[in-house]
This record gives sequence, structure tokens and C-alpha cells, in this order.
Amino acid sequence: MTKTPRIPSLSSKETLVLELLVQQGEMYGLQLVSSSRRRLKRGTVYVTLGRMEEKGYLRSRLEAPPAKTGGLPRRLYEATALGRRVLSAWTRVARELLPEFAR
Amino acid sequence: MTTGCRVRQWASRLYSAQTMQHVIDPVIADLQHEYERTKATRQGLRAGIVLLRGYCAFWTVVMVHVPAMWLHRTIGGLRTSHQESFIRAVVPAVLTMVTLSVALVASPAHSINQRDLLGAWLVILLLPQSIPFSIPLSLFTGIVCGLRLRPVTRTVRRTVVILGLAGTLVSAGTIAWVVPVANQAFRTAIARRVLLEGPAEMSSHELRSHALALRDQGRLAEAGDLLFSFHARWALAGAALVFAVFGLGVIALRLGRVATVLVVATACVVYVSYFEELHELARPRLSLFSHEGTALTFAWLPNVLMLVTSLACLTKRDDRRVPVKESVSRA
Repeated sequence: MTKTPRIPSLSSKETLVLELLVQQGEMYGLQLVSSSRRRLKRGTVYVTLGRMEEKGYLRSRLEAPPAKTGGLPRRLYEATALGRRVLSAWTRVARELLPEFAR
Repeated sequence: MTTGCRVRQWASRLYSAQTMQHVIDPVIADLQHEYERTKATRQGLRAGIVLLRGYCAFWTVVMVHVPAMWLHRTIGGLRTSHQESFIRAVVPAVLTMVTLSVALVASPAHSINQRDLLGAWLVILLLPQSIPFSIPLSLFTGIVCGLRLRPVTRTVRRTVVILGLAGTLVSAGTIAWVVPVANQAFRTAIARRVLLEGPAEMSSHELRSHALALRDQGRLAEAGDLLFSFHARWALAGAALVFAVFGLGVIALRLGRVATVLVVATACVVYVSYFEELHELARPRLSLFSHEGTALTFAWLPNVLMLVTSLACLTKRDDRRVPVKESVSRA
């Protein structure tokens, strides 16, 4: 049995993350939380980011570990070409079908 | 810097390297950076708040979101790999569970006169009583309906046994802790005063001790009644595993749809009736159960019979499978 390819979809949080990353470039989780004006939560942002990375909408890299204090390096995220295409298509569809919800 | 290192170490025992790398580590990295940055500005109180918020985020991720993500992926994986079987198993299992719970609770619930919030609370308190029956029977129905006409492979056996063990654990927990407490709460709510615990409200240990004390006093009928109840509790707890294996036996027979429905319905009715009616039938001779061995035998009899039947079905089915090489050489 051949599988039908799944149409990419975006949840409201995923749309917000992609919008922020497209507008402001590379960011880490806490920056996304503060830029989202409390629409993203600290507890959920990394689960969302992990899921989006699996879907191929984002890619991440580790920044250089802090020299003075040690500790874990932060993970920086940026939108991929697929993520940008999906966001643009999603925004267009939303604007055409539901103009009242279009940002 | 040691902030968050201990909790990270703890989380690494629970979660895979990938989850650690993409979900847990970024949370801890944020916590460490934000805390260090605030501490450097000599704002002690603010640093404390930052630390608290960071740890709250960490525990939310570890205890809620990562398990939810894992569950979502597992169910999604099951759905895509065995979508048809999954739906065919889940729908009848849920229907059986709801029907049985309603049927078993309906009779005592009917006697509740309150039609307010207290009445609803009383019905909720009755629900745990139905779980020892509804879990094994819904598991059985789900297994038989979902896997009918499918080969009983090693993976299927292992999955079914794991499901049965999980059901047994839930049943045992409910019987041991939830049912006695719920029963006592029900009686107290009805009587509106504290009552002494009856046999159905005693823990298993108390029930057995009470039964043995009665037997020592020569009150054999009462002792037999309680000893049978004690062993029946554990037999019902083991029923989930027994019914899961019995489901495998029924699948191995490769029966038609009507025959399968008949077997499932008969097994469910006979099993529930055995425990519901045996007590009434044995009432004149309850003293017989004052012997531990007799009570144990009668309580576990249906489980043992079903296990033997299932193993016979599974073995018989294996006998029928003639290896290809052997059948060629015979020809």
C-alpha cells in the first residue's frame, strides 16, 4: 500500500515561532519566550522547537560554551527554507480562507 | 557552575540522549545563563526568582511535556503501523469498559435517592468496584477484536502479555487501595456518620486476619465467606493477564466473526456470573471455604481453567502448522 504524503501543517505556536525566527533571525529559546510577549511558555518552548526541528522547519546549533562560568552551551535556532515556505503558504491560506484571523 | 547539574544527571537516566540534547539541555542552559547573568548584577532576590522560574520550567518539561510527547509519538507510531488493528481494538475495548462499568454500577446506583452533587459523588465512589471486572474484559474484547485473523507472532504475544501485566497491576492497585477506601467513603456519606469497616471496606490483610480470627472462634460460615472474598480479590486482580492470554488463545483458533462474538460474550457472562452467583449458590455451605485451600481453589478456578484452555488453543494451533520442508518431503 502506498502512503499518501502528509501536507505540512502548523499549529498556532509553531506559526508564532517561525514568524519570530523569520523576522528576527537566529534566537535561543528564552529569547523566543520574551519576544513572544508571554504567548510562548518557558516550559513548552523547547518541546515545540524539538518537534519543529524533527519536521524540518528549523535547524539548530550550539553556541560556544561560556568561557568564564562554564555550564551548558545554549542552542540557537533558525528557520530552514522549508520552514519559511510552509509559513508563507500557511499565512497565505489563512489570509484567503479566514481574513478576520490574518495577521 | 553546578546550577542544574544534579537535576540534569537525574533526567539523563530517564530520557534518551536525543531528548536530553534537544529538550532538557537547552532548558538547563537557559537556567544557568539567566541565573549567572542576574547574579552578576548583584540582585540576590531577582536571581532567586530567576532560579525558581528556571527550575519550574525544568520540572514542567521533565514531568509533563516530555512524557506527553513520548506518549503522542508512541500512539502515533502504533496508529500508523497497525492503524486498522489499533482502531478495531480500541473501540470495542472502550465500549466494553463503559458498558460493564455502567451495568455493574447501575444496580447499587439505583438505590441512591439523592439527585444532587452528593448523588453524583456517590456514583463516582461506586465506580472502582467495577474496575476489577471491566479492565480484564475490555482488554480481552479489544485483543480479540483487534487481532482477529492475525498470526500470533512473538511480538503480538509479548505485547499482549505486557498489556495483561499492566492491567493486572492497575487492578491489583485498585483492589488493594482504592476499592476499600471508596466503599468506606460511600457508607460514611450515606450514613452521614463514621461507621466501622465491613468486610468490603477492609484491606486485604485485615480481611484475612479477620477471617482467620473468626475461624479460630469456630464461626466457620463467616470465616469461609471472608476467606473466599480475600482470594477472589487476588484472582480478580490476576484476571487481566489471564484474559489477555485467553484472547491470544481465541485468536489462535481463527474463528469466524459470529463465533468470536459468541466466545467473547460467553466468556464475559460466565466469568462475571461465577463471582456474582457462586456466593449465593454456596451460601448453605460457606463453611467449606473456611479451609484456605478450598477458598483458594474456587477463587482461582476460572483463571486456571482459562489459562489451560488458552495454552491448549495456542499449542494446538502450533501443531497444525506443518513446516514447509516437512510437508514437501511428505508429498
